[in-house]
Amino acid sequence: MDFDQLSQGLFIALFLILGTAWVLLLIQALRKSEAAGIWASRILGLALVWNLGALAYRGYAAGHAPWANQYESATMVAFGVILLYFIFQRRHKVPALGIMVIPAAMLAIAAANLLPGEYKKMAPLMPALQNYWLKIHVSLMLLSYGSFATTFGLSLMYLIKDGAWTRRTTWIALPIAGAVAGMFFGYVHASAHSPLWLSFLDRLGLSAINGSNAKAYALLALAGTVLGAVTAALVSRLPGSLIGLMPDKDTLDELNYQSVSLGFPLLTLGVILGAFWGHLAWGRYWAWDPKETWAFISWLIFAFFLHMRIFAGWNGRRIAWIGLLGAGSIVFTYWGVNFLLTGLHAYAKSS
Amino acid sequence: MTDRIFRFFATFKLMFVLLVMTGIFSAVGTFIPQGEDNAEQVVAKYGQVAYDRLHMLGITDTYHSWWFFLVLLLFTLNLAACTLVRLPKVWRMHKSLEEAEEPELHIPQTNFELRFASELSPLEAADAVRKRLEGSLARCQDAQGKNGRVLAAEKHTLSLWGAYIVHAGLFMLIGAGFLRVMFGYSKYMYVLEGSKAFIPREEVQFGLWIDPLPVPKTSWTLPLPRFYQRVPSHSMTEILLDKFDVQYYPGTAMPSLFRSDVKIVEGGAVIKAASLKVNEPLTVGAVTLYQSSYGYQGLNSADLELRLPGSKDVFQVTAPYRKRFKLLDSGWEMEITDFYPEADMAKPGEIVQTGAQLNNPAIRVKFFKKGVQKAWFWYVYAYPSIQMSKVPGLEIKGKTLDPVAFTVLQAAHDPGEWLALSGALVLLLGVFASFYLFYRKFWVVVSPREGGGSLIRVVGNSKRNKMGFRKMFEGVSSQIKGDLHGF
Repeated sequence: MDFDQLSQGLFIALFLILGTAWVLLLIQALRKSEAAGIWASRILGLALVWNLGALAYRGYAAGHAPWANQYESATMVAFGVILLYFIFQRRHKVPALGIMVIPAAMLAIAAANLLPGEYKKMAPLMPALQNYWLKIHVSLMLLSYGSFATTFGLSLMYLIKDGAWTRRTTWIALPIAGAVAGMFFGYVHASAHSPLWLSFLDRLGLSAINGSNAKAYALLALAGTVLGAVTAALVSRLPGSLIGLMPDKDTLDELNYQSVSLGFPLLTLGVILGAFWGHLAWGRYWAWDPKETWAFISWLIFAFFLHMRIFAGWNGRRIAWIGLLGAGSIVFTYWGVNFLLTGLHAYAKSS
Repeated sequence: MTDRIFRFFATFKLMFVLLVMTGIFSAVGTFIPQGEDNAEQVVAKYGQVAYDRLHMLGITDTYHSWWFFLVLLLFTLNLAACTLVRLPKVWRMHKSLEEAEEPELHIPQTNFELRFASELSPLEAADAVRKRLEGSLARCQDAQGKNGRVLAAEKHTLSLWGAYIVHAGLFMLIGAGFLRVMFGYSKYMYVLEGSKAFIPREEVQFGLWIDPLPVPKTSWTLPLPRFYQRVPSHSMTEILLDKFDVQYYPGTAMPSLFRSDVKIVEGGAVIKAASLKVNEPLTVGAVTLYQSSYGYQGLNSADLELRLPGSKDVFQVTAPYRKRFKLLDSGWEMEITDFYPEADMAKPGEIVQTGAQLNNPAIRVKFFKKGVQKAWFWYVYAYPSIQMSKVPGLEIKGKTLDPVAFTVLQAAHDPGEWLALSGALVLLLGVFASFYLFYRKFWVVVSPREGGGSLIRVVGNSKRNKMGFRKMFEGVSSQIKGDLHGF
């Protein structure tokens, strides 16, 4: 087993640990089992330590801070999700929040492991990245991405509690998300000409070079839709079962605001320190590079969230929708920009 | 009228619209490749007609378009107006209790209030309250109201100003951007190894210039006044590239380091020697030089192995670039006429240059006998078996190459640099004050009770973190009640 395989194995094990913790959180919520709750906390603690250990190993084996490509950054985001969830829960102890937030960490690790093989490999750093700013700017940005998973969870909880997010919404949202994810998966593998994609095309009798691969994308969209629908069938009743456990709407609204108060300063600091690095490396603070621009758009959305809540008296449902919009913007800033847009920050692959 | 304009700019509705517009306009620029350099890409993707329309609308250069600047300007004005409208409210919160005509009227309506009675006299009770408030919060203010003494203490007042400090930081950043756009510049310079180049500079001139603006479908022109122009300025400072060094990670084409060893020359005299690397710029006067990229252009020489027609011997030559030379006494001559550091085959037999990095080097060689050209072909180092020689028995094998490197440096001048740095720090201070400091204030009214003792009213208020403040209020108010043996 080489360094890459061992590193990936550690993160797959992390996925399983998080999955176990999630199931225990479910048991705690649905069966009112205190023991399951205690074990869920312990296993999440283990996940945090495991994640840190896996990152440290990756850093040691790669010879640099372990967030230089998409795979590495996703594992750091998972760390951010768990760490910020812990920090938040230590203060607020919100029942059922983990059920909403922990899947974000699992999704980050799963998505990273579904990347083409060459995107997952450790690689040396290009000269521009050989700098202490990599450790500071990138880690802050990734932690801020992770922190907004809590905002996502709380916004969703508010909408569920409020009745704005119903079973029907789940049945619509998950298959659509599945279809988009299926096509995105295809696009990433097609861009990398991964063996998986080439053999998939081969089986369909399509060409990787000059053929129209609409059929392949349609099939992936269909598979994603089915997967989304199956997930919806499994979890669509869950929010209804959790409503009784959730704090009241006012508390959720306040907690939602608190979660943005945690992530927004991290995002601000990350963007500003990134501008300092840009000044040092490229001779300008800001170049409207797609990554910078989308980080700015996410920042605007959360600045809007804060202003409308603090000064314009907005709260409740509207604020929760803005929270979801902000979380969506963060996902695009993180994944969409790296694969769909080009620029100085397109770090999907190391080299 | 002025008041109406001001009120229009101070609305949240306008902020909403401008934020959405800024977000959408910013996003548009990320989907359409930007700038003249990417014009071909846009044409290839969307067609010439679509490109022309996008170009006309400014979408191919979104972040420099007039409408993007306009939205940013309106956004700045909105931010300024909203700040000015809200400042007095915060200022009032700071107003000293002693200055108030009726201190009790300053106490806001909040959800945090506790009333109790105490056997202590108002004077004793006020002393005890003062001690407690000063211990839990900060310096205590004290004033006499109609109903009794009013004591007030607060903590983390900076947090009240957090949003305004953030706004001040944003204004400074916008100002820095303006200075850079108006008076700064960024130019690229290419310097070949062993040669010199002047550091490019620009200067801004103010005056009146008239530009002719053609009226469409007529031969008329309209005079368009201009008050500002940028002109290249003569630079006395040169950069001499002594050596350019690239190192690669073993077994890969990925550079681990590239570095320009340069000398700064003024009036023929070397004033400074330095190494330039990515992330390690060099400041020369008002200009900062950044290592941007590098490439290769031309050769010093190439070591080759040759076999000539009619001969079984293989011999080594060190061939100069673009210089015909004799191959021993064979009667043959050769010349390397071209060098492509990154070659590609556009179509069979046609080699084109696709980049300046040493990724797939190729040389074009010509062979002559008795002054007459007998053969020419491209030799691609990665594919030595593909030799397009039509002369039987003529073989060539490339050994080593000594290409001439050039460095690409960015020469930038940014007069807003310190303002940007200060603005960023101010903004961060504001964010810290807003999110990590929680303003809290306690008021305690101590009034005489009929039949002796005192009546106590404790009121608390906090900006943000109401949940955290609940605990604090409960703690402090119960301590006060305990201190006064309240009931």
